[in-house]
Amino acid sequence: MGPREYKLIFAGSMGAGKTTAIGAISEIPPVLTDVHNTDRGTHAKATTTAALDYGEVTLPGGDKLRLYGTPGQLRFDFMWQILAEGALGVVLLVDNSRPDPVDDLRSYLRAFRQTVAGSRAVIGIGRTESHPLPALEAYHAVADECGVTVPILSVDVRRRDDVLLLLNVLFMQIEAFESDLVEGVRA
Amino acid sequence: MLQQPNRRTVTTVGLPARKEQLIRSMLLAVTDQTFDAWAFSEEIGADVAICEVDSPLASVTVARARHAGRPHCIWLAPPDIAAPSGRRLDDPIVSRSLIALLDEVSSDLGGDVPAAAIRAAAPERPVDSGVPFGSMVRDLLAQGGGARIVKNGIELHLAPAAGQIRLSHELSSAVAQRLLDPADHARVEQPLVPGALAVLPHAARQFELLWLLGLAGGGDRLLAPLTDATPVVLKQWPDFGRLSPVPVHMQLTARLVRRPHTVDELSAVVSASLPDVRAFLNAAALCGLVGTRPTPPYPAPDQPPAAATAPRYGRILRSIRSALGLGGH
Repeated sequence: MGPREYKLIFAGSMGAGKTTAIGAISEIPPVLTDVHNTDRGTHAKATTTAALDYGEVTLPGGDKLRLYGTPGQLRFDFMWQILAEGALGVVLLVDNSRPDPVDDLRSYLRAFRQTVAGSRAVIGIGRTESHPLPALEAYHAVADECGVTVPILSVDVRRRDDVLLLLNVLFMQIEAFESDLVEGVRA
Repeated sequence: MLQQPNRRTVTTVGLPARKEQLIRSMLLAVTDQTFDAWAFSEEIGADVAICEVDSPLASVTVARARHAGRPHCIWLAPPDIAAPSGRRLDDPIVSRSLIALLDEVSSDLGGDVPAAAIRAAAPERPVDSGVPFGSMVRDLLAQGGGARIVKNGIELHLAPAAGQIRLSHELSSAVAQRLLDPADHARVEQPLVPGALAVLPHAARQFELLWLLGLAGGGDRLLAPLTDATPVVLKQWPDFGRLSPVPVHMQLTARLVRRPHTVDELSAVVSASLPDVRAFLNAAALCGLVGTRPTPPYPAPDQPPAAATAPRYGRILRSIRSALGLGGH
C-alpha cells in the first residue's frame, strides 16, 4: 500500500488568518493563491485567497497531511462543504474585529454542520486582545443555538503554538467521539 | 465524621427576572459555604421559595405551603418595608445573609445538626485544601461589586462590573498557591475604592484567576455539591487559548462535554490520577463550567460513520502528532 493522504481544512472569514495558520505548520512554503482584494467594502485586506491555499506536512512512513485554506468570502460557500468531504477535520477561524463576527461563525457552523456535528471542528477566535468584544460567551451562545457543543478558543494564529493547540483540541475531540462510537455510546 | 450535604432546592415567586438571575448566580457561588447543597429549581415544590413581598403569587404560594408543608417561604423586601411574619431576606441580597438563611432552613429541614453547630465545626472540615479561598473570590465576583483582597503579600482588586481583575503580582500558578496558603488569612475590603483598579500593575481575566485557584487548591476533595460519585458534565469548553492547558485537561474536557462521568471513570479513561481529575473539576466548577445534567446531545451527522469496532483515527493522529511535535498522549 502506498503512502496515504489526509487533509485538514482551514476555513473562516476574510482576514481571519487561514493563510497564516497554514504557514505556521506547513513544512513547505504555503502555495498561495492570493489576489488583489476587490471586496474592500467587506475587509480592508489588500489581497485575499481567491481559490485555495495549500501546505503540507510529511508524516512518518511517507504519508502526507495536506492543509487547505478555503476562500473566505461567503459567495464561495459552495466550495466549503466540497472541500470538507473526507477531511480529518476543520479549523474555523473568526476575526473578532469584523463588524459581526458572531454572525460569521453562525454562517460557518451552518456550512460545516455535518463536520461540526461529527466532532471534527474547532473554532479559533482571533484579535481578541485588540477587540475583546464580543466575548467568547456570544460564540458559545451561537453554538448552542445551532445545537452543537464545539471548542472555542482565543488564539493568535501567528503563533505556531496556538495553531498546534487548535489541532490538539481537534484531535482530542475526534478521539473522544470515536471512543464513544467504539463503546457503543451515542452521546 | 462529616455528613454528606443534603441536596436542597430554591425557587422564586414573583421576582423580576434580574433578581431571580442574581439569586441563581449567588446560589452557585455560596453552595459550598452552606451546610446543605443548594441549587435553583423551576418547581414550586422546591424546599424554599423566595417571594417578592408585593407579589399576589406569593400569598398563593404561602397558602399552598400551609397545606403541602413546602416550600419554606422567605419574604424578600427592602429593610424599610414591612413583610408578613416569617423569615425574611433583605433586598438587596448579600451572600452572608443568604447563607445564614439557607442554613437556618437546613436546620429546620434536616433537624439533627443545627447550622450553628456546623459553623462551629468548620475547622474540622478540610479547609486547608485552599478551595474555600477560590470559592470566596468566585462569590465576590458573582455579587458584582468590587473588592480589595490582601493575602500573603499579594494584593488583588476585583472589579467584576468592569470585567477586570488587577494584581500586585503577575498571575501564575505560584501566585495562586500563595493566595491559597492557609497559614495566612485574607483581608477583604468592600467596596473597591474608585480609582484603585489602576494602581496595581498586572491584569488578569476572571476565569484565569478562578481556573488557577481551582487547580492550585489540590485534589483531596471536590467542591460541594460535587462528590466523587456524582456524574458531571462540562457545559462548554474552557478557553484553553488563555489557560496554558496541559494535555490531560483537554482530554478530560473532550470526554466531559460529550457525556457525564464520575471521577473514577474519568481517571480510568484518561489515565490521570484522582487528585488531578478532582483539581481539574474544581477549576472548571469555580469557572461555572460544571453541570450535573447531560449537555444537549451532539446531533448525529446525517450520515454517521459506520459503527466502529476499533479506533479508525488513533494511529493517524499519533502519526500527525509525532510529525508536528505535539504532546497529546
